[in-house]
Amino acid sequence: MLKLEWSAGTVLLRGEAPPLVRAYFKWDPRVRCYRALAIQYRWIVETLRMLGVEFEDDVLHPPPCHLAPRELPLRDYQREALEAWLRERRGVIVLPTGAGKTLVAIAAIAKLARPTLIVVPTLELMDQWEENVKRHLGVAPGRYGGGEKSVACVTIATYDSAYINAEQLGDKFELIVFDEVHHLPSPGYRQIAELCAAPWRMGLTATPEREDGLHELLPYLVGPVVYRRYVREMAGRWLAEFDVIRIYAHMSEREREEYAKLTETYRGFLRKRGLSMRSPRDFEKLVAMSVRDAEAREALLAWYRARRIALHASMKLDVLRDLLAKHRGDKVLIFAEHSDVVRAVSSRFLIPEITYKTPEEERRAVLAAFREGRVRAIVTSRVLEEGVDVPDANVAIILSGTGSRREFIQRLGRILRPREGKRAVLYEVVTSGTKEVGIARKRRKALEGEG
Amino acid sequence: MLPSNLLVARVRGGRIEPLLLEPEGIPLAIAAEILDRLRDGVGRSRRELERELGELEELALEAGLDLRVARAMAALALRASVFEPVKAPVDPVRARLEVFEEACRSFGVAVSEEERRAVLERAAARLGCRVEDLEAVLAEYQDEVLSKPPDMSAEDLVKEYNLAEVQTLLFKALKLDARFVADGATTKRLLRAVKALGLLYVAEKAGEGVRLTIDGPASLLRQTRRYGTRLAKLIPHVMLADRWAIEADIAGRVRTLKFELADARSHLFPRRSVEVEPLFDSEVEREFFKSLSRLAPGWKVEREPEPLVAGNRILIPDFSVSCGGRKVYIEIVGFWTKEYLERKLEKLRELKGVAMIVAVDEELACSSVKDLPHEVVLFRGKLRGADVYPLLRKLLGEPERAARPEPPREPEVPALPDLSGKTLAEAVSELGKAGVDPSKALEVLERLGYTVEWRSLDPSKARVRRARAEGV
Repeated sequence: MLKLEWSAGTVLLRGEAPPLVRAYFKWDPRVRCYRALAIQYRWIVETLRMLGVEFEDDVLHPPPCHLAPRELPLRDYQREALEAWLRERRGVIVLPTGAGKTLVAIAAIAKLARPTLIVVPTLELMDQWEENVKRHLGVAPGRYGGGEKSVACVTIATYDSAYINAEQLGDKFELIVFDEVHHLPSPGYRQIAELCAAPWRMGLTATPEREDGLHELLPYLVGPVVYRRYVREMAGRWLAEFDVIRIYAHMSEREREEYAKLTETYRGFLRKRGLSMRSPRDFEKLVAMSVRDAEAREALLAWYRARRIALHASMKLDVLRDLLAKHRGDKVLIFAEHSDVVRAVSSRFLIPEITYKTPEEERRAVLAAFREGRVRAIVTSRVLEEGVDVPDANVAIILSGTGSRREFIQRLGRILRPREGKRAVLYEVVTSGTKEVGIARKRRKALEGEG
Repeated sequence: MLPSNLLVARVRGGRIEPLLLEPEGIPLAIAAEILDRLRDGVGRSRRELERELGELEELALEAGLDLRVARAMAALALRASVFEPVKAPVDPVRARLEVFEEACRSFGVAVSEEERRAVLERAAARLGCRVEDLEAVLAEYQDEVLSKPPDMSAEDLVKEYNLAEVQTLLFKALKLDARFVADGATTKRLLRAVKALGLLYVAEKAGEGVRLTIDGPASLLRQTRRYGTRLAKLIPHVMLADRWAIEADIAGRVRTLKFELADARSHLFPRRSVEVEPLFDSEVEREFFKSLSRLAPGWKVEREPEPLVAGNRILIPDFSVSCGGRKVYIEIVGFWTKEYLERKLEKLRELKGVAMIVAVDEELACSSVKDLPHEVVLFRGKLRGADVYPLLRKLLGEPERAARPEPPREPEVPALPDLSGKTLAEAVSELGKAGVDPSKALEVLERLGYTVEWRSLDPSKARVRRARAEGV
């Protein structure tokens, strides 16, 4: 009889298969057997069943599971999202940060009650999902990542650890949930999806689009977008109302001179060589040139330094001081680009910081203190962008940032969890007369571009 | 292995070549400087040492070397060092949180300088420390201090650098071809590593040796760098072969690049002593070896002889017995069934022109022992020379009666580790393990091509170095 077997992220076929099925496979002379990527498992099985071919299936080896199927209470749009996904049991759900994406996935797990792997970008998110799984499903999840390796009926893994251990995890689950699924299409991470046999797949994100266009792979890896809602549609009802305010900081006299000089060095070089900077690729070329070309190196350095002056103009700290004085009673998140600026703000205003350097113990303690109101402000680089629950923050200050729309939407999302009578405010501090004005304009398109 | 931004390599005509350094001249001087600074740096903080080693990057640049060379060597040396946490006057995490919470209680946020000072004073009073201690924990996260510098010579460090560069390059490998000539034990260890890493291989005969094409299960279906790190881990195993050459396909930005390396450059790499296993892993085999050698002193009995290629797999028989130009291999089988034996024999028959005897333990038979093919020899409990002797004689002919007493075999000398960089005292004790009398140690060291740098008359300070071969 035909037999399907699991083999380290792939499916082996023993016996003679009908051509329609064999199309998924390739002959592997190393083991004298047909082999397919595990992602094809669902389609292989469906085709065999459709053809009425009898076969032995030894692909999935799920851990013991004692979940009883049940329904969780959901908001209207969450129920719509779940129903849209249940039609094919695959696909991406797009909801703004703060709209409760997690709960849609938990409800799907509760309904199917089958072994599930949840893949998340950070250890913080792993903690949060663990909490949610315990609260709503009443089971303790397994954890894969940060040095831990335990598998249970519901298991949470980081992208890194799921990538490294794809061969061990790929045959253990029927449902796989990718939180912040826009990470998945990158060349490494996509293998998590390809080497996993789980037939049912869900992706969650606030913004599936990637600058590199790789989001086009999502339909193949998890399924198409099956449900989407935008921030503007939901503010006021399911999300807090918000304002976005731009404040200009000025450069000191010395900074202004330095900035002008550096900008001229950079532009002068481009003029002299007849170069133009239209795409990221043009810039990469400049970086490559700088390896052998002293002038190119100088131009590149000038660009970096000018950017640093614009992003970290000394007056920005004065603007920050005034904003903090104004919002003494509020819960404030401050975002800055570089970890030394984060440190400077932390040390100057005695605000805890969270960066990738922060020890685990301190990070947890700070987040707990923030939740309980023992501290009311946190300064961070990029760590807090994704998903970390800071429930009642109502003020965000972007001290410096990139032009990325996703980054902007995520930073905004951090303050939009709804509360009675809440009105959130996001400040962008921008250095006037520099290219930072353009950077800020670019990222704000994230709001205009929305539905 | 290094972060990929420290890989120095250049691409030419579809090939990629990492920068490999001779352990001499400027690179050796930089390595020596790094190690000296670490030896003098015991008790100092990691951050300070990193900053200081960073200065050497400039030195490397001035000397016309890529600054990444200095950075990579520093990274490797730091990795070989032992650091331990410092004892701070206050627990940093607790102190920092105390300050932040105090600021929140008093002012929400310490907006002005006065508010900041007030917060720090109150927190210091509560924690029983000084304001400066708090400033220190606010300025930087806790650091570690160096407790043990790396135990290696400058030459070792250059070689480690070369190996790390090759391995880092291989992170992006799509597949690896390894050709080598090696004994059975070395090959076995390599194959065991291939298996343990979840990789697959196809074997072919190549001249005197074998050629393995190694990649992973999904490589068939996808060009993937997934197995690169694992392929990199195989390299030290390959380098232990007597002769070796590797060829890898490396995923480049635009196209696939070729990378080649062979034993002509093995002096650039450390010779990693892979864990030494007992020569005989079972009592059965030891007994057999003894009894057969006694029975036919004219035959040459070898344990784990050179690997054979059967189909596309490698087979390493347990023994070979040779006489004149003829050779017979012997495979000992533990638990077995008739079907298992059939499959095994079928595989062995793919070895055309190779004579093979399979010895099976009657007590471990899981099925009937009747009608076994003629190449199969039965034994009970313990395989003795006498069990296979008749069959061997048929295949090899009479053992030479002349039976000159076998020339005394050279005593088995355990492989010596690289002694360069060791102190004289350490070298003498290593030689002692190999049976060298301490009184002869200096003489032996010189014959092995080492010189001794006397820094004082204390043997634990004098250092053993490899003499410059070119100079001699």
